[in-house]
Amino acid sequence: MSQIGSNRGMVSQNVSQGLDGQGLAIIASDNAFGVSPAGPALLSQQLFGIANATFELLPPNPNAAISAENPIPYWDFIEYSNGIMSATAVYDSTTKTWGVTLYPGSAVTDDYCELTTRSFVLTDDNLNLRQTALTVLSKSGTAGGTAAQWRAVLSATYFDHSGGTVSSYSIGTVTDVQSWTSLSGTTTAGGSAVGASARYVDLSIRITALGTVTGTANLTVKSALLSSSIGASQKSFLVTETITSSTTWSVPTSVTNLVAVVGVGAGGGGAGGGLAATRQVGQTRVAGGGGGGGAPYLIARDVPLGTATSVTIGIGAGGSGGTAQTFTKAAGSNANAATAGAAGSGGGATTFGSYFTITGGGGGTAGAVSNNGAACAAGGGGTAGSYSSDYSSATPGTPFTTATGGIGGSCTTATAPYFSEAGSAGGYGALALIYPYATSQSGISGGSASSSGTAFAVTIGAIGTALGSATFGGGGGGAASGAGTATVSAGGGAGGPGTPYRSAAGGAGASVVASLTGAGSGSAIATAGNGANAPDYGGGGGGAGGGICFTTTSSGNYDPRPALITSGRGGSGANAIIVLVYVG
Amino acid sequence: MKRYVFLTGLTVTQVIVGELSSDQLNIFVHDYRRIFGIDSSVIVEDDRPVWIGGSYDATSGEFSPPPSPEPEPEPIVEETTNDDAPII
Repeated sequence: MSQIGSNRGMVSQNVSQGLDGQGLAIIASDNAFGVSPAGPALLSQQLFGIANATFELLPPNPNAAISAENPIPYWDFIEYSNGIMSATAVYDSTTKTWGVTLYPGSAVTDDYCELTTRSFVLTDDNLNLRQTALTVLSKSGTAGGTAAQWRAVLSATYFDHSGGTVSSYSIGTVTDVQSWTSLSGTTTAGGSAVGASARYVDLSIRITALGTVTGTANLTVKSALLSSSIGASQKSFLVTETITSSTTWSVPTSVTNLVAVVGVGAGGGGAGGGLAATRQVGQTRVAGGGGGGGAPYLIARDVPLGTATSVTIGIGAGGSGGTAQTFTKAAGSNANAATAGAAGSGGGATTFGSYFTITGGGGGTAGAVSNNGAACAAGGGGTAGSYSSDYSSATPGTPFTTATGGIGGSCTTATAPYFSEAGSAGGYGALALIYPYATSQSGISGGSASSSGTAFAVTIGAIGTALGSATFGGGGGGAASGAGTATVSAGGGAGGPGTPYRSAAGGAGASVVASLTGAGSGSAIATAGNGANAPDYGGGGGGAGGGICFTTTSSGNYDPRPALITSGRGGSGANAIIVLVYVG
Repeated sequence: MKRYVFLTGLTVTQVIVGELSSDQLNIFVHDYRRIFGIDSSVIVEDDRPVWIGGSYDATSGEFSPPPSPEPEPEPIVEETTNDDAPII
């Protein structure tokens, strides 16, 4: 009898016939470049420990409910709900991946359905084999109330060669009223070694009704992974969770410490632009407002959770930008105005239990204004965010590193020993000075971590445009109008946005100068640019709103005209973010 | 996302974003009472400005910024005679 290895023809012939029940190759006979020797099932088994880990092998009828007659390869689905609970393969056209959705339907108490796969293990009494499972999940629909109507449990049960149970362990639980994206943990209690007699493990996800289900929430299993390690102290997965919405985070089963927690604080809001109007030529002054302060990021390492089962995570809200100011002058009125912009608000604090607090950047303060020619001081930038922690003093060394947040428009780079980066600040509001008849006005670009922006010239009558750059939001271009007797309209460009997840500040809105040169009665409408909102998760402050000046070249030209002038509002600071890293 | 505004008296002390259940919010109030000394919370579902350090009017539901640190210059009220000032 021929044996593998002794007859190339026999090997080729037999291997090429290694097909699964749907005719897909288990082992590929083709050895051309780019071809895997393993078919999809074997490849999945090899890479993830489970034969159809990502459900790319579909039921015979992918659109029909999964059942004994329409099984999904390498998985088993059962339901004890008189047909109420069901499962179907689903395709996510965005991620281009498959999953299996478990529908609780209108199940009643103790009804359940279960999706199970099996993986084989080889061990003995010296290997200290330990395994970790991870299921990636997604939730859709909504719960039927605030009390849980169903729970889903990921469990692992090991069997010996004769089908006897070696061990069984519930890895983790979620309910329909919670938010979740995964279940993971060791497959044995406390991560202990798998029993030496184990020969295979069943990994199951069971949904059990806790009452009559009235909600529409359902659970999709996107993938399931099983990883093995040997030795006394190894685990398997490095898991990250990104938190952008405040929550009470449930500590995964068997996780007793975090490798790291990274937090980026919330930025402050930029000041709103000031406003000045008068018939007195050359007397309006509006100083630029301050951008919102930046917030630092912070890294905490080796954070012990002890026996905590949950941790409150507060995601600081980006500070609100200062509101815009408006001045409306009726035709025939000689009213004037000098209104400073509104200050921006500080960003909210970002908290991880009582382990640390990252205070948000401060709000920018408004620049001074005048309509009598007095010099005006620029508004101050928001104060830098900071942090405090109960944990740093409890651990030798410097587990935390941080950076000084930027002060509006002129952030300085911190000198922390490592993992430090200065938070960026919102850009200065543009400085608006009235120069009647001038052919150009100065605008200013947005702030950055190291610069308050660069002045540049804009042409009278032109409406400024945003000058956003890849990292830091550029300021809007200034605008000015010197029209004669007709309606005058000028708008400053808004600040440009930065890039999400970067240390980015919102650009400052542009200033506007409207100078009426003629004696006509046309209305004047002028609006300064808004400060840009700092993109979320970068710790940046919002840009300041542009200031605005309104005057004419002669008091006789001022009075007849109705006018509506509006300064720019400040941009909002970035919302915060926390990323958790742990071995699951 | 909603904003959850935490108050010490009627002063805004802390603002976070999220979609918290009532049970989760109660946990935050408990924790933040200890961390920040807050004693109540308000949910804001629109984008109106909220100022940390500012005040909350429980009757109107409006937020106000903290007092400006510096007085604003007074606008002039009398006219001057520089209508024909030279062009700058």
